[in-house]
Amino acid sequence: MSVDVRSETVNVTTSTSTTTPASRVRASALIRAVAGREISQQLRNKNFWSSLLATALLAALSLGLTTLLDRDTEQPTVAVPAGQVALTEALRAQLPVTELPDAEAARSAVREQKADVAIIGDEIVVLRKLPDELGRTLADTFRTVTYQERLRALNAAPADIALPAMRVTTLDADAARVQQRTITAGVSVIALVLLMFMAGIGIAQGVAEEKSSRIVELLLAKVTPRQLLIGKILGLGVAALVQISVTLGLGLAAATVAGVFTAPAEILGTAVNVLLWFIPGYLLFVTLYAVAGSLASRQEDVNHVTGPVSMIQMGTLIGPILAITAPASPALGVVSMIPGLSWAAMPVRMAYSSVPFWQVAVALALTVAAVAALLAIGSRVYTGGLLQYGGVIKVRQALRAARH
Amino acid sequence: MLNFDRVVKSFGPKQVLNELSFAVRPGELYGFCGANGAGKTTAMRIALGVHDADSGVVTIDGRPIDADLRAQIGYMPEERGLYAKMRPIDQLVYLAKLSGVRADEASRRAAEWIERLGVVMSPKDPLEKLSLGNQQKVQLIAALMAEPRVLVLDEPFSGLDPVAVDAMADVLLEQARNGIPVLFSSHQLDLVDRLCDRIGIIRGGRIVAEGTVGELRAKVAGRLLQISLQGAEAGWPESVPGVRRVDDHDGLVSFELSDGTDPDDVLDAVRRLGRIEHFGWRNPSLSDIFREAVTA
Repeated sequence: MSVDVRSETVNVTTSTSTTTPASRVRASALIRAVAGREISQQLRNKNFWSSLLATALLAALSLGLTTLLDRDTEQPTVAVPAGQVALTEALRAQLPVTELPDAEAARSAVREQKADVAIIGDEIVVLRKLPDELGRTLADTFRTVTYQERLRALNAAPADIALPAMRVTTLDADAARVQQRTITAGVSVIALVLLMFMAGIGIAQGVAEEKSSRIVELLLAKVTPRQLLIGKILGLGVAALVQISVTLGLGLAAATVAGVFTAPAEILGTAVNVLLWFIPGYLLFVTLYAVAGSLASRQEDVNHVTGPVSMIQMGTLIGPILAITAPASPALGVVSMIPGLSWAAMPVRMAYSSVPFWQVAVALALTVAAVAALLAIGSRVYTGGLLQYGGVIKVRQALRAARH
Repeated sequence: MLNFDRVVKSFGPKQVLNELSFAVRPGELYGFCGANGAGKTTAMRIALGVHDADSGVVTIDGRPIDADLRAQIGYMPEERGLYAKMRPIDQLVYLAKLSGVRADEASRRAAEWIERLGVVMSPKDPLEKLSLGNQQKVQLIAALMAEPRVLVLDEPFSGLDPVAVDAMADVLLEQARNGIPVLFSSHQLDLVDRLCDRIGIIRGGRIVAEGTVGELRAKVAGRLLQISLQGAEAGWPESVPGVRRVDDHDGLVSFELSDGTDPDDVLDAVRRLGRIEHFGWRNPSLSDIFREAVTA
């Protein structure tokens, strides 16, 4: 039927004339224009910057805190009067010791808080309370020295009196570094999830705004829905990546300068890995948010339509939480392979232990496949949703509209 | 020439356009009139590819509208479509870029139009800070930015004050004189009467009357009588046979003749009701034409 063929030509969604090189050039120019607007609007948005700054501060702060709490508390200093040679010698092997002229000087050192504790003969002098651990150390030392002196008094040979020192063997020498890497990855991913959550709502609102104010009628006369969607995702993605890199970089630099990390280069590698995995994760979720926005007819509906997406997104927190709390659990291995969850779980898992290459490859391939599938289905829903009005549009309704 | 050829469109069970056919010639201001829900907006949206037609075709200079042609239509949607939080000049440049205009050229044009239409704003204001009239001017500029081949404007004059109406009317006339087909819909019939070269009245998804204002007047002429009586009882207009009362201005009552009614019979009838002050044909206004067309 010739009539049917001609009616195809007035339909923007079924336009198949985008295969010539010239129109491909035009299409990419259109996508760039759409992306450019999103970038400049994002970079001008004060809310986004302040929320980003807040997350970066939060990340740096929590990194700093964890490391500070981990760090050995400072060793207490011991004041001793001159003349207790054996005891002073034995204490020196374990704690910083200050030798003072007499007992009174040792006492006043404690009183003036120059020393935490004074040992005068068999008397322990503290200002308020003797910490348990310090008490045990002092008691052990005192007991050993006392026994040694008694043995000497019984004419035992010095070789018999001397105690062999115990050796310490560290089985996992990298523990501290691994922990720092894992915490960095975990905290970064959690910060990114929160960021994506806020940015995602903004994206859905932007799409709903275009729809409710009918700007979309002007836009669709010039670009196809797919070009609009791709331009939006790319533009918002570039803006997000730039902002995140800047703030994450600042946060890491600050933490490094503050001496939080023992191996800054490794931490940087971890951060870059998190960012690389963030890209497919971002593509997945921003597409979901944009598509959700296209189902709303009014701004008020946005929260309603983004609800399911936000819930799925909160689910991605499973990965980093598991990786921090139970890094050895097999559940983490499974979670780090599932598309949608893997972007958040895999980099944390990789920071904690060496993951077999094939698992990384499979997780990445699955994620890329999921992104491709979602973009294909999502752009159809988006196409159908954009021009359907009346409350919240159902996905099936949008798909049916897109088929026409 | 913008041509609608037997365009059919239904939304579910409701047929909105019923083989709609009409043409807007180059250099012509075409007024698109019709009651609410008659199908004006749907027809325009089909031309812009917002909706697709079930059958029929819209062409420009004989070519069915495709993505390339569509980018050359200046369009002003009924519900105003601009970004509230974006600065007017930025969005004008953006929309022009989507139509393939270079950024520097687009900024130049935007500044020129803003100056010419007297849009009152400070350059940093987002669109939402502008008055509604000024927002509408920006909307018109958006339609003009890409130097379109065709203009399709849905209710461009609604909500404008008389000065702004004149400014917009000047621009539309100028565009038409440059050889562009201009299609616009409006409920303000005095404006349509004043501006349009031709008018199409749509009802139930098809054109029921079309032509110049003069041609349409001629069709309705000879159907409207104006009568004024003295000493008649109140309510006398209801007792005149063979006519339908249309309106009443200070005792000057207008009647529409029913088919087959002889005006002489009406004269005889009203003579018995009172002393005739005035009896004559009424020169039909566009409202009369419109009423005739949409109620016939």
